Amino acid sequence: MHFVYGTILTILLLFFYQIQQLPILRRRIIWLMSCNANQVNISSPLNPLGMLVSTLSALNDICVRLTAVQSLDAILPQCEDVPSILHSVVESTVPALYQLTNECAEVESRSACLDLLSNIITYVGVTGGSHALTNEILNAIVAPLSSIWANATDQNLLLRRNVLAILSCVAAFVGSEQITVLYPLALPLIDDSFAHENVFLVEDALKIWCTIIRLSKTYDQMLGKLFVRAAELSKDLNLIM
Amino acid sequence: MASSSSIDLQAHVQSALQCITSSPSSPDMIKQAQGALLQWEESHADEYVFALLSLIGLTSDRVTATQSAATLRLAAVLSLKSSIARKWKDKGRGKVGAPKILLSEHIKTLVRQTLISLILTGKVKHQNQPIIVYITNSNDITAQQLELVTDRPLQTNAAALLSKVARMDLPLKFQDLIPTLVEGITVSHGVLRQMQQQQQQQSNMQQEIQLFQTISYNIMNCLENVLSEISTQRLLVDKKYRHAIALQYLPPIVENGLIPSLQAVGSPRENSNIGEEYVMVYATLTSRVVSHMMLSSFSKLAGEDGSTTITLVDQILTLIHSFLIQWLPYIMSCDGNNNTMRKPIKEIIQVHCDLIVELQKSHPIAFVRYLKPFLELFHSSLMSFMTTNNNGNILCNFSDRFTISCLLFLANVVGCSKYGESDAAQNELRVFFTPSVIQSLSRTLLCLFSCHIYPNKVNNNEDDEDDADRVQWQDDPEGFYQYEVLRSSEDDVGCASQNLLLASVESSVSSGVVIPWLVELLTNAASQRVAVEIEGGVYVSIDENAIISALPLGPSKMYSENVALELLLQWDAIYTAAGLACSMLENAPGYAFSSWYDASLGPCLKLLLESKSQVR
Repeated sequence: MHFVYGTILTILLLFFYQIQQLPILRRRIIWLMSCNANQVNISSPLNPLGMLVSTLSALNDICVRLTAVQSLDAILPQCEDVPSILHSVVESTVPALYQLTNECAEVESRSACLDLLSNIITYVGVTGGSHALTNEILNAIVAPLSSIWANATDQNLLLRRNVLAILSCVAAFVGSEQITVLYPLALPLIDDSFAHENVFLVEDALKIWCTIIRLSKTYDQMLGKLFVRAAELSKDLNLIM
Repeated sequence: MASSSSIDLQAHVQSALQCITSSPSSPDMIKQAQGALLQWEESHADEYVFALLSLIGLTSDRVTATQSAATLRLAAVLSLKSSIARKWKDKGRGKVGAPKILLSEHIKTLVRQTLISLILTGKVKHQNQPIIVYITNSNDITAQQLELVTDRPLQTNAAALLSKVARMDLPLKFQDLIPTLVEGITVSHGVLRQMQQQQQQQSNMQQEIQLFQTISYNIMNCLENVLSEISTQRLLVDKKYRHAIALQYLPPIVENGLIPSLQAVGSPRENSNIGEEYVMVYATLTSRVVSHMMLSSFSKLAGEDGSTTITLVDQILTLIHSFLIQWLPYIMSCDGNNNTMRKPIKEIIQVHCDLIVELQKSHPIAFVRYLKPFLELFHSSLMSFMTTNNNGNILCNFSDRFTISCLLFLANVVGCSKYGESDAAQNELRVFFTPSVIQSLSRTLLCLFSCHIYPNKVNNNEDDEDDADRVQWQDDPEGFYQYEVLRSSEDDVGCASQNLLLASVESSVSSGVVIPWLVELLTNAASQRVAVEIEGGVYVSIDENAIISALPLGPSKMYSENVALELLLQWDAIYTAAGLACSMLENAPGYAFSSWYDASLGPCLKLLLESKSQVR
């Protein structure tokens, strides 16, 4: 009877535990991969990159998903040697990252998700993945940006840097052939970056502005409207000289 | 000095302060009064400060029934604080070329003398009398002086103000401040000792004793404020001044302050006076004073072998060690559950722990001769932390200051690069850190890594203050993630444990034991599998004994009621250690992350991701 009681108790304990359990080891193993990113065999049949991307699913605990973001960011450089593996996961990663960004409340968490997104775009571009970022995926990347910008107020203001970083990566990716598609989105945000409360964005705004101008084949009226900001900024040069 | 215009101004200032401090005054009236005070300060700085000094000495016999002398005194000293911040010294602020009206040297001398006199004797001087008279007999003190001596808010603010003046004046001016205060401590200690001896014959001396205890407290509090303020000054001339002060005045402070105050506290098992407020507060103050002096001058004090100063340092650290060895295990064990008693003694212990940790960290080589006793003390206290209460569960207060002090001290010792160049230090460390000590310590550390995931605490009332706002994973996963990222080894037990383990892994003293032990743990694939299958919900039923036998660190009593959870948390801790030590493990024989991932870790993660167990 004592043995049976012990077994029943153990079953009940396990049942009780599973109802309330946290994904302790799941989170920790993902974290461990970020610590040993340079030793992860990206080509392993176990598909570590795929497993990490699947962890971004909304079915998972936010702590696990944020750990997966950290781990993915660490492992990205390993994909340079096997870019096809990275290209294969981009389509599912983009919406998952935006969903996680929306679900998070802390600006550090949201910024980490957007940082990963801009890093992915950069690595795809560097590894010749022009086919990986189709127009549909590019639209999925840039569509939420104006909304994120508009809602990035008060303690979330720093997210505007992430938006500019993503736009900069997308601009570099699309190149001179499609840069004009970004004008309606990017140029107003660049203009807004010179507003008084956004002074910390000026450097990032100038970088993307420079990228866009270099990629632009011809003059455009929208670009011309922005030039008034250059005149204002040139006054700052007097302080440097 | 007291001309009719000064008396008029004093009356106006008193009236303005009365308006500001009385509740019927409207906001406009208060603003008007404040404006008037600023205007007087600007136009008649010396007379204004003189008026405030006079009001600081206002006693109940000189005010009307509707006024409160204590309130007016407090308002006067606070106003004086603001004025002195603006008018004492030209700090180079404000518009270039604008004339600055500062206090004259005469009024500054009066301020210094008045404040010292207020603290030592409760007397506010109106004449510039250079001689300070200490009170040695209760018959010498008037009712007015008694009122000022026992006015705690006034004395506290006067001490704070004096420390600000000291910061601006020392070391070029006001050099008699610290000697005067130390002499005051010596005198009042002598009087108290005499009275306490007399009390054994006459029992009606309690009031006199309390009076001199109050005076001693005021002086010691002032000294602590001053030393605290000047300890942050970084110029060479300031450091040299602090060295000189410590060399000259540490002996009388120890003899007349630290030793008697710690003796008065007693020991946990007998003669304990931790219920006596004055005893505890005074002991805390003297401990802080000694701490300031030791921290600023330890290298000078301990640097010369065979000198009298090293004997003094030995005496102080031996005293602190014997105090801690009595109280630290007591306060860290479940015996110290009387919450009203714990707080004051905890404060004293913390001051001493912080002193030792900081001394070792900032002067590691000079501290070598004291390594052995403090290593034994902090190590044994840490190991005794893992004691059980009546339920058989471990006390787990994540922000327990003493546990953190123990962990910090051990981490600083183990991780000190300068000890690699010192034969004496290497010998001490090799003798203390035997393989069994290293292993048992490492095992204890791993048990502390993950205790914040599923808190398992005894209600400790006041100890819950620090943990009341701590984020729980179950309640706020995102907040929990950010909490783990941002926590510091100086205020979190888990993080401090990780810090110590990392130091152990990197140190030549212990890495030879810790790394092979970690590798051996990581090769226990069977236990990992059981843990993963429990989390993944693969097991429908499993014998409790089977789980216990799978525990890689053995039963730790952390979660004796839930061995399945304990298994998971132990593996969480081991994986955390593997992650922290990843760079050291890279070259460890028998370990290769990529092979381990392919063989064990990857399949475990795959199983978890594919499992149907609840994930959120």
